Amino acid sequence: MTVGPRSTSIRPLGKMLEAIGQPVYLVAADGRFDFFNAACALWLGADLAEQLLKWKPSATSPTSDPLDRVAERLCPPMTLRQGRPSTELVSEFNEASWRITAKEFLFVPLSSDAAGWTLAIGDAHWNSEIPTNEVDLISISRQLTAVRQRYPRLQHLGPLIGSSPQAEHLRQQVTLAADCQANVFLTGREGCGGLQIAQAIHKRQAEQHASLTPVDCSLMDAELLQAAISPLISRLAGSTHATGTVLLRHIDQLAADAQATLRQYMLEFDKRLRFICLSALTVRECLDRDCIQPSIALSLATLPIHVPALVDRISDLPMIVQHLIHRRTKPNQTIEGIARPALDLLSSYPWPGDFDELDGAIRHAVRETGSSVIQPQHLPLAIRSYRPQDPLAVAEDRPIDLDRFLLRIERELIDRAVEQSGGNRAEAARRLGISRSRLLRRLDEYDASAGAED
Amino acid sequence: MRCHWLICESGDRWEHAARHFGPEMLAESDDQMLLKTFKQPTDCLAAITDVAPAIVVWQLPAFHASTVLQAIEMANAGNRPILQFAALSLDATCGPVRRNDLELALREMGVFAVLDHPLSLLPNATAIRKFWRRHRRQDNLTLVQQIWDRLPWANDLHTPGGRK
Repeated sequence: MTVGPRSTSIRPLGKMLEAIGQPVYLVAADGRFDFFNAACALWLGADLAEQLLKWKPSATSPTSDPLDRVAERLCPPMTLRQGRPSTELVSEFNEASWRITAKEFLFVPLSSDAAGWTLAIGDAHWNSEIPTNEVDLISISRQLTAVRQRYPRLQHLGPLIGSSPQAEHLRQQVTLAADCQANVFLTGREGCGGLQIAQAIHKRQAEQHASLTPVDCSLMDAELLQAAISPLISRLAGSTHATGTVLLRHIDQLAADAQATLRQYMLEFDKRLRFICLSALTVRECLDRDCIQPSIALSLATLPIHVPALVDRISDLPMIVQHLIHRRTKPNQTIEGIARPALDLLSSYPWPGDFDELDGAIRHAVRETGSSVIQPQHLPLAIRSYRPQDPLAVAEDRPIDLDRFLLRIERELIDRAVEQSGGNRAEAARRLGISRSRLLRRLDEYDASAGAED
Repeated sequence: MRCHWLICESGDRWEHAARHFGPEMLAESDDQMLLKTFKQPTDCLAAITDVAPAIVVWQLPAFHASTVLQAIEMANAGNRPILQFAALSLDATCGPVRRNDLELALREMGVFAVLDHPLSLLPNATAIRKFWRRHRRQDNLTLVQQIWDRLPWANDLHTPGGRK
């Protein structure tokens, strides 16, 4: 509940202050209270706040009136200098009918003359950031600049690194996309690095303050799409020089009604609104499966780019790995590279999560390694326990050896439990519900069988 | 499936909103909504790693505005399965042009939608349900199912030449 404002001249200010979740009140220069917001009324009690609005400072002081004593506590400090805010503790007050708890207030004079109001904001600290939109816009603008600076440059893009014909082709296409304003349709597996490529393509526009609005099409209906793009549309409508990019992820999953909305924006803003699409399906596949209306597909796919899967260009892996190690190494670390056995493990792994999974694996290894070279034991368990000829992982239409299969499952569970227990085997045995000696016996058997296989 | 909501705010406005509307936005009736609140953005960011997939609501403006913004960006950069919302509390002092710029910037940083008041969660209900549904299957796989998926013939049932 909001109490006041008493004067009509401060009603607009009162409306703004109502929305604040912290206790806020206004004190006139003559010491009268003009406004208490809902949070303040809650803190004081509605009855007391109502009475304080009607209260007038007494000519004689001190008095025994409890209301005077409350008002005295709430008044700005005598030391408050014109134009300079000050924080003060409003002390606790107990009376038969009223009780207020202690609270720290920031007192801000709203004008430099002695006739002005003083704004009191509860739970605020002058030394902290004041929660105003002005401050927020500054912070956000600063942060956005930092975000845009972190958009990868083409030469730093992991998926573009390599000497294979696929890498060379991808580099040429992405460079072309970055140099022009055409719509781009990126296809590739989930995790292929499409997002980073899209950001790198947009980087040049970002340097000219053009916005990038990411949209996850798989979650959108027409209304949500409209809401997501509307800030950008407003900017474009407000200035004929403004440009912007919409990054449409999972475009192949965009609902039909949302596609109509998209089409409308494409026609309205033409070249000022650029689209970069990410899709698991190619344009042809989208059309064959009726995922996208043909007119939209043709407009979006001015420049179709296919990002090859990591497994299809495995010869580039060593260069990519070296690049990622360099990127992920912290300033206090010195990592020269990766040992051959570890690289062999990476080369034989099928990379279902593609480039992003490799990036995650290198990040993990860099974190785990204490030496200058990444060894197999520094890689994530999924990679180091993977076997190319593993009957569990290779889909072949042949019978399995049930005993071996179950042993493999058991081993995987034990490995996971030991890892989860931070290497504590007793704890791992407890989690698995077996004795420690049985766990140790099993681990010995695994080591022996691994030795025999080698 | 456990559907986590992480709320980073100084008060309890958005916590109440999430408790009120969150259960209606679950994908299935047997899904369970879990809610955690944080005062510090860094604590919220750390929790994301443990509980994702999750819906994350960041209150803005906040005393630590720059820390919140950094957390939003870091959460987004981590490629985690999260849906981030920025909850504005001082909309009344913000004109439409500034409000627009604010939203544009927040979306570029990785925010899915900007919320002005608790009711503005409702238009996002469909998206939130789709989000939970998308992550439901991975979360729901039992170890037995995971093992089954890895059997050499597991996918044959879905292929024309496979066993029926």
